[in-house]
Order: sequence, then C-alpha cells, then structure tokens
Amino acid sequence: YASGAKKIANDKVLVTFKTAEDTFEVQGTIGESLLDVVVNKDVPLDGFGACEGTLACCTCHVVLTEEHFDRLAKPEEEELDMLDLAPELTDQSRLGCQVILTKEDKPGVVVKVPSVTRDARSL
Amino acid sequence: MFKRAFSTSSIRRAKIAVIGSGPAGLYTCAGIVSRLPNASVDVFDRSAIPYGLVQYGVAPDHYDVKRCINQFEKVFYDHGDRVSLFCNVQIGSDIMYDELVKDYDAVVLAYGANKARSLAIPGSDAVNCLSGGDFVAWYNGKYSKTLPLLNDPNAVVIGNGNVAIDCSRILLSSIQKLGQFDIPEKALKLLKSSNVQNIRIFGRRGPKEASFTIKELRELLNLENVTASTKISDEIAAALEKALPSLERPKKRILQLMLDRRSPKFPTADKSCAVEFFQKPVSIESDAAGRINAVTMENTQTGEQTRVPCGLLIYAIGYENVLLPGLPTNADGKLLMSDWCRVPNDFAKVYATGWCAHTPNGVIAVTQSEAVGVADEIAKDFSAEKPSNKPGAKARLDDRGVPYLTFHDWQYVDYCEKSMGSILGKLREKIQDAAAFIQLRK
Ligand SMILES: Cc1cc2nc3c(=O)[nH]c(=O)nc-3n(C[C@H](O)[C@H](O)[C@H](O)COP(=O)(O)OP(=O)(O)OC[C@H]3O[C@@H](n4cnc5c(N)ncnc54)[C@H](O)[C@@H]3O)c2cc1C
Ligand code: FES
Repeated sequence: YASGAKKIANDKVLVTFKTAEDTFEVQGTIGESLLDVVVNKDVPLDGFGACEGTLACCTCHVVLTEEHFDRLAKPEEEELDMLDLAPELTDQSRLGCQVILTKEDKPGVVVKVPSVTRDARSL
Repeated sequence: MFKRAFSTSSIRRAKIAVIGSGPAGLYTCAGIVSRLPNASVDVFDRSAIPYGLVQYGVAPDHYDVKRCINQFEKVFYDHGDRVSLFCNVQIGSDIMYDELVKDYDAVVLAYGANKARSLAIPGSDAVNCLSGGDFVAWYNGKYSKTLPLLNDPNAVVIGNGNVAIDCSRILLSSIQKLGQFDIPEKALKLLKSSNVQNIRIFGRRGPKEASFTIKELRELLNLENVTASTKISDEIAAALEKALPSLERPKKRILQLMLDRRSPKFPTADKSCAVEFFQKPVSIESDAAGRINAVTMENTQTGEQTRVPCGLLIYAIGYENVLLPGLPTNADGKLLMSDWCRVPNDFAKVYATGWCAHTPNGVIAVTQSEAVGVADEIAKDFSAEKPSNKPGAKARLDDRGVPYLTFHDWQYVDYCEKSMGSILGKLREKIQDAAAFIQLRK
C-alpha cells in the first residue's frame, strides 16, 4: 500500500517512519501521538518510547519535516530539556510522545527516526 | 502469569551469551531476537534480580525512567522459548569468561561499571564519608554495609554530575513525596528523622564542564522547600553570557539555567542547596569518634582554601571500569577492542557495549542507541545462519550447583514486592535479599 493511491478513512493519517535502513508506513489516527502509533501498530523501532510517554527519556526522538515542525506549537520547556539529551539533535527534532496527529497532517507525514550509532560508527 | 512457550523451530542457529541484564545487555538482547529469529540468548547477571542500574541506580522518585523495564520484560514474555535469564551468577567466579566463549557462538559483554571511583585524599576513610555509589545503593535497597548518619545539618556532595544531584535531591525532598515510590521503608525511616538542612555541591571544574543534565539540574533548583542556587561569580557569569550565543543548544540552555538561578527561586525556604564550581577537596577532618566533621576545599583557580564543616560527605565522582578475568587488555590496561564494539577472541565472536565498554557515562537513551547498533553488527556477523553446536552454559551451572534465579523467579519477587508496596501505600517495597527469599520459597 505504498502507492498513496489507497483511500484512507477520514480520521486516519498515513505515517511514514524512516530509519537509516528501513521505512515503515502505517495508518495513525488523528489524536494519537507518534508514540501511540508506534505502539498500536507494532512498528519495529528498537527501544522507542522507553518511558512510555512520561517525558523521562528521549528514546522517542524524531525529526520532522520543516512544514510539519512549523505548524505545531513549539515544544514546552520539559520536552526541550529531554530533547537536549537526544543523540543527533536537530532544529526539527521533537519527542514522538508529544507530537499529536491532527487533521492538518492529512494525507500523511514523514518522520525520521535517527539512529546515531549506526550512522556515525559503522563507517 | 507468564506461560512458558516451547520452541517449535528445530534448529537453533546462533547461541549467544549476554553478560549483564542492565539496559545495555537487554537492549542488545531485544535487538538480537528481532533480527535473528533462530538465535537463542542466555542472559547472566550476578545480581539476584535483573535490570542493573535501572534497579539500583535510577533514583526512586524517577520512577518513570524505570518504565523501560516493561520493554525488557516483553523480551522475556515474547521470546521465552529462546531467551533465558540466569541471575545470581557471577561471571568470573561461578563461571569463567574463558568457558563462555567455548560454550557460545557469541558473547556480549554488557556488565556495566559498578565500582565507584574513590576519593583519594587524606582522611577520606572517615566515618560518614561515602561514595555516591554506596549512598545510591542504600536508598535503592541494595544490600550495603554502610548506613549513612543524617543527624548533622550540614552535608557536602562532591561531583558535578547527575549522581551528585540525585543524592542531594533525595536528602532534600519531602518524605511524603518520596514515600510513594519504591524507597525501602528502612531508608525512608532514616530519611524521616534526617536533620540535613544545608547541602553544598562542589565541582572541580566550571559550569561549562559540569556533566549534569538539564532536567536533573532544573528539578533540583525547583525543589519547593529549598533555597537552591548556583554559585557563579560575576566575572565568570559575564564571560559565560558572552560565550552563550556561539554554543550549541543543549549547552546554551543549561548554562542559561545556571545563570538564571544564581538567585534562587525560593529564597526564604528553610533548607538550602548550593551548586558550586572550581572547588576540589584536599583533606578531611574527623572527630574523636572518627566521623567526618569538616572538609577543606581548594579553589582550583585561585588556590584559596576554605574549611567547610559537615557531618556527611558524599563523593559522586564517577564510576570505574572493572575487567572480568580473562579479558584481553590494551597498553593502558583497558579492555582491548578491535573496533567500536568488538573484542578479539579465538573461539567466539565477542562484543562489548554499555558502561563496561567505555568511560562509564551516558543516560539510558544513549546506552540504548549504542546497544541497537551492536545488535545490528551481531545480526550482520550471523546473517549466514549455520546450525550451532554450542552447548550453552546451563549444564555447567547445574553441575556446579550454582543457585541461579530465572525470569520466573524474578516475576515472583516482582509480584511480592508490588503486593507489599500496595499494603504500604507505595509502588513497591523492595526485597533486599531476593536470593535468600527465593531459596526459602523453594
Ligand atoms: C546513580 C545512577 C542514576 C542514574 N539515573 C539515570 C536516570 O535517571 N536516567 C537515565 O536515563 N539514566 C540514568 N543512569 C544511567 C543508566 O543507569 C545507564 O545508562 C545504564 O544503566 C547503563 O547500562 P549498562 O547495562 O551498561 O550497565 P548496568 O545498568 O550497570 O548493568 C550491568 C549489569 O551487569 C551485571 N554484572 C556486573 N558484573 C557482572 C559479572 N561479573 N557477572 C554477571 N553480571 C555482572 C550487574 O549486576 C548489572 O545488572 C543512572 C546511573 C547511575 C549510576
Ligand atoms: S517516550 Fe520517553 S520521552 Fe517520549
């Protein structure tokens, strides 16, 4: 169903997770966080969401596209504090447990899941 | 309850041993089982219960951090047919590293670095001069010989990292708040009667070099009943202000916080906590009973010395790597590695990850991301799956009568701890000697 031609239900958003090696495309529901989508759809991202969305880790670090990042409210101080520990921090970085799918995200969003070790070390 | 699933696939391909069931070991293990569907993994830990510093390091009031345990348990639940836990097994005495490399196709070293660096200054053997490691072990319910004495109002904490903050925060937090989590009742009782009022945290280097993470520092500086502040001279503050714009975001944000909190948020609170810089301890004085009563600090920039009276000193100056017997070493006496994760060996493929593999620092997220990378490398090395003829080490353990504890035993301990916790109105009451507890049941 990678074609995008597939019709999706009104409250659904196509979410594409991109890691260094893989791409996973799943349907998320408006109102869900990116972490919810990973958990509910069993997206195989190792260790993602270790603190279960309580802002106590940064394993749910994702990098959004610029438009996606810009249309969301700015991250709160607590999220920024956690993000500061994230390997591979960028200006479009967010914590996946704090990014909620909205109808503006239709038909879909693409988020990058950085994996520092693989990118930087296996050279 | 956990249902033991039996293997249906006939041939086991890679047989892998993981030493250590902390985040490094278990994130690697999770990565292995998802990448190599026919590999089996035996996880060994010398502690009676699994999860390493998540159990015995992470502070009780950071209970949310410990939720990663749910990810670890899922590995044992979902892959009970090919992932086994052997707790209460010390590699290096119950079973040797040299034996493991013969018993397995691959060995993953993930045994952490749980030895606290010692404070080598005159007088540091005084009573109530404790390592952060010992203090943390005490409030986390790990068996320890040292009981802190908390009857003196003045305490000093040496170190500018998160462990220094954890120890200070536990001493300054309200008992009501602490009591809801999993601090053992015994420790809670001692904290309840504590007279500690003033804590000075001293770091050898400056604000820029401090290794606190911003979340921990902010939490300390925001403690409600505490006048908490950073001590940064006007001159250094001005230099920092100037440097700020050119720094990366995380450094910039934490330094900004340090600058903002030169004046405390709650200036009239009755307890106090100061985070100070460029100060190193030079000697410790004790009273007639041998207990610490003062430490002399030296300003590393001016050489000026100050005598700081205190009845408790905690030094949280980091952890040291310990080498298991049989591991190869390099010229510096450190673990010999042939690349970022591999250790040379003639019999098996050997990998190292987490705190035992390098300077012991980094939060769980960092340990996790490294472990995932190691799992990738292992998957690559074993992609051409050949049947394994390695026996594993279980037979050796059984022959030697090593009283190992399984995941099933941990589940029982976990269940009992939570039940006792709910009676006491907290999340968990830890069982301090889980090995004896399980033997009793058997
Ligand atoms: C006091 C403290 C507080 C911390 N708080 C936080 C926090 O709030 N948030 C956060 O993200 N990170 C925190 N960390 C960091 C985090 O704990 C580490 O990143 C992580 O635990 C490192 O994982 P590891 O598996 O390498 O080591 P460990 O967690 O230490 O695991 C190593 C395991 O190996 C076992 N072992 C050791 N020797 C042997 C042997 N010879 N045979 C068999 N088994 C052996 C040990 O028993 C242990 O279970 C904290 C660390 C400390 C010290
Ligand atoms: S899941 Fe831990 S911060 Fe998002």
